[in-house]
Amino acid sequence: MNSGVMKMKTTMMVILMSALSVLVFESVHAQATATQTLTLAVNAVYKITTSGNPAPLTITTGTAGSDNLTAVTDNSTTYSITQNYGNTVKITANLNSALPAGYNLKLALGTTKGTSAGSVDISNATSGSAVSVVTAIQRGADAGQSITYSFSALASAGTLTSTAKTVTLTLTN
Amino acid sequence: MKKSIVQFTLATIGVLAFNVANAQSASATQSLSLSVSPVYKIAASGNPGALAITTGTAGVDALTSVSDASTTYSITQNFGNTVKITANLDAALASGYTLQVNLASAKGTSAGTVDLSNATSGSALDVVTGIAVGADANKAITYTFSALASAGTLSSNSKTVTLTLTN
Repeated sequence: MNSGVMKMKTTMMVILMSALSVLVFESVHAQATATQTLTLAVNAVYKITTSGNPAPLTITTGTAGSDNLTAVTDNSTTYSITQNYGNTVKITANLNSALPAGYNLKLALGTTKGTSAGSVDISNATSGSAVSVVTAIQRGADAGQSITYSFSALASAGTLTSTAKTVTLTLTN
Repeated sequence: MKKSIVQFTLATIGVLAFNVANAQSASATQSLSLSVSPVYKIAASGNPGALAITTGTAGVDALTSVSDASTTYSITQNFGNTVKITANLDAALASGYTLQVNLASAKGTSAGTVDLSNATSGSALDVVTGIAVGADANKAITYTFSALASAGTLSSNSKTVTLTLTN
């Protein structure tokens, strides 16, 4: 084999190696991309539920000489909320209609996400005059918080036959 | 093109308005059953002092009576305006002895001084009537005990007076 043939083989080898390098390089850099534009939104969410209805609130006794009969309470129910609106959300409460004079219904809601207004008189709170019972509720969820009703009456108001009342708790901003 | 943009913009505003309008609040309701039963309560402040007749007037069969106004009663009722208080003894007094009671009242009409000597559980007497609903606290109870000399002495004798608030 003469030196001319050797030179040619060497040249071909170099060309072959170069071609392989280009192929490898192209296979590494031959990615394809596609893009998608997503529109994401979380609307304002307000959710509130109660665990059920409280037991009947019946006043049955008092103290001789006192017009204030012995009040009765119920804390057998709870409420749960979820909201993502802001930290100024509150819960208001109202009755479907006001109680007659001499009868008093108070409501206290427990809370770990807001500030409870304590025991609030809702005797005269109707849909147009709902009263705040929890304020400054933080975003998130607050589950299984207590609802306490206290019903009181004056003897001078007389007896009250079983009367159904609807209490509406509203989570609002 | 312009029309499409306007339509799209209006649609977007519509969706936003819908979201805002429907994201203001949520409500939950509870049904409550409220009632106030008839309440009748009466209490006395305690027992009066011993009523002991110790003197009289020469020539008069009626000995000098004694009285006690040291106790009071209180009531609370929500039933109605026809409620009353009756009084009775556990057993009638022997002949010649008289026990009277007078109950003051701000909510009803006192019957004044009422002779309880023969009023027992089956024959209780009205001492206050027409009591209005509400409370009447610390009203005076006045007992007057009298006796005839002809009835003789009476050794210390315990009697129970029952005041009943009823309709």
